[in-house]
Amino acid sequence: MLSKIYSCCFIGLEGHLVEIETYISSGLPSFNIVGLPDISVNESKERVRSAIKNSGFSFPTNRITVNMAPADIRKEGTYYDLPIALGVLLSSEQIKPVEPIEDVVFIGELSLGGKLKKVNGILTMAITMKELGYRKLILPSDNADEACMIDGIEVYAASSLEQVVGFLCDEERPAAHSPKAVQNIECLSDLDYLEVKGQENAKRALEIAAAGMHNIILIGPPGSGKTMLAKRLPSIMPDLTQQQALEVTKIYSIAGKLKGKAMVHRPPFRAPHHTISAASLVGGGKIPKPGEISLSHHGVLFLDEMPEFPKKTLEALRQPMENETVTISRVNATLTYPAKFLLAASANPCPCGYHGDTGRECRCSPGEISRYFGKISGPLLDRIDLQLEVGRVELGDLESNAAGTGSAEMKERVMKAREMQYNRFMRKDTQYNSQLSVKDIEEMGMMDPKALDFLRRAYSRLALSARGYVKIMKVARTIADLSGKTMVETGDVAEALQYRISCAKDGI
Amino acid sequence: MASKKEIGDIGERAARSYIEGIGYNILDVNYRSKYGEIDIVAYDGTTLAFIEVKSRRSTRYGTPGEAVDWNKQKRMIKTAMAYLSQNRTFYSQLRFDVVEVIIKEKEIKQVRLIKDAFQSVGRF
Repeated sequence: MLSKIYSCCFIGLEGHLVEIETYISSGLPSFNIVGLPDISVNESKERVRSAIKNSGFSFPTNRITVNMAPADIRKEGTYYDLPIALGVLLSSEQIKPVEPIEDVVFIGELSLGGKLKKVNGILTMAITMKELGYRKLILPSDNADEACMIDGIEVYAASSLEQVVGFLCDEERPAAHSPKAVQNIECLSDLDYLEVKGQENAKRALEIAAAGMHNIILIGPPGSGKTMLAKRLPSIMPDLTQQQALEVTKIYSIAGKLKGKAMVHRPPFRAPHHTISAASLVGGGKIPKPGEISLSHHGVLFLDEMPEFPKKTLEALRQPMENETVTISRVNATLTYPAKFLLAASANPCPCGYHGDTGRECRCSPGEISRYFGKISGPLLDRIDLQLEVGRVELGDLESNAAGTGSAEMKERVMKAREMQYNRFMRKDTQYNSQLSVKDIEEMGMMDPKALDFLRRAYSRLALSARGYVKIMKVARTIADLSGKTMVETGDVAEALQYRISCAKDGI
Repeated sequence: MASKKEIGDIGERAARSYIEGIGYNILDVNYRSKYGEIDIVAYDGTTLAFIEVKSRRSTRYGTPGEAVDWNKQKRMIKTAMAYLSQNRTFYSQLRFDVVEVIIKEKEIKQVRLIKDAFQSVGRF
């Protein structure tokens, strides 16, 4: 007998509906899956066989053929265990649903004992089935909260194959799953800028970076607190908006990094080690998976000791930084992932670390210094809006008990600045000052004439690049936002300029 | 307890009487070629069926039919081709059947015929 069941798959951030047909015919006992299954899908045969037997049903000793349509998409993953098992039970007439199941989508991995286990990418699949007009979704209970974020579908959570069969065959249908009130836990990291003594200028720069999502690099001798400063960036960033949270959660869902959370509310913070490969940074694989830059979408990508990263890896960042998306092409698929992130980097000024330090002498030759810093190419450095030298901490600052600027205070200013940006744009594709185009800046007439004049003189005097010119405008806009001004004044431009040339003057 | 040989013989006898009972005409038994052996060659109407008999004491280690694996199928297909080239047999269709026999204490518990158990696909 033939049965038909619907399930979902996803490629990148795009979901597809998969039709799973099961046909049981006479013949020697065999179990075949066709329709371009991956090894991981073919393995599901063993799980399905065992799960059916251990759920109190018998596994038919006939020829079973399972077809997955559309047959031109390669199926991978473990979501099909449940639909295949149900297909076998339906085809062997061991179960009879009381209601038609044409509008139900089944997703789930089975254990040998028949328990349902959670799978990745539920959010993407739920969005797809909703768009295609399927109204009911039966999935593992661990995934239920995630799916409930999509309005307009009924989510039924089950913990075992037996329970799913109960849903289908019992006259009394259980109520649809309703998510626990989404706890909006203020999961602020326990890190606080209060713990950083001194370095007030660096804190100021990081505040600007967080407010306008500007990229930032901190350069300084070892032990000056660069890493400490950067790690506290998330503590001053506001929660993600609903739209942003959905985008980020989608990426985390398909990457399998939700870790039991239903939704990502806080801006992500990713700090990959410098041995990372280019593929895992920007994304890759047979069917490309999102890389670190996509996982830090709307958040922070922190590259500690930036010159230690392989040059090839760093250069791979250039294009995504401009486009805010990354398109990865492989034989099997060409996929685009969003990658709007704040790049925070730290670096020593030279191999020994003390070039330009006030306390110790640098032992490096000019050649060594330029080779070391040469790893961060000009074009990459040009894309970093805020370039900042972090000096050694003075003893007085280190021992003082006077509280410096803390995260709470900084976050408040950042949120105000973000609100100003939000009210200014009212457009979906621009959310941060760092995304402004020259046209935007000119049209909105946000520059004070004096400030503009000042910037023009700086452009020719300091031989800024065209990109640098625009970047300074953007940073100046954020600085003005932080102090709540509608017009950018000369002082704001001057401050923005200072973050630009501090490194350039040393020829690094 | 019956030996393996006895089990096989009892099974084959049971299979022969079973298929004759449902209208098969047995043409040949235990046909041997250098590729292997076919237990029964029989007509089901005008269809020529090559039949493998599998006997077991229990289904604890799977059904008897499951023991007809890919290698056994290959051997049967080759043997069937040898049979056809040796004997000028008339047929409208060819088919491979498997008869499963469960035997306990020399007593036949169950006989099950799997018609069209597998097909000859691919190259040999």
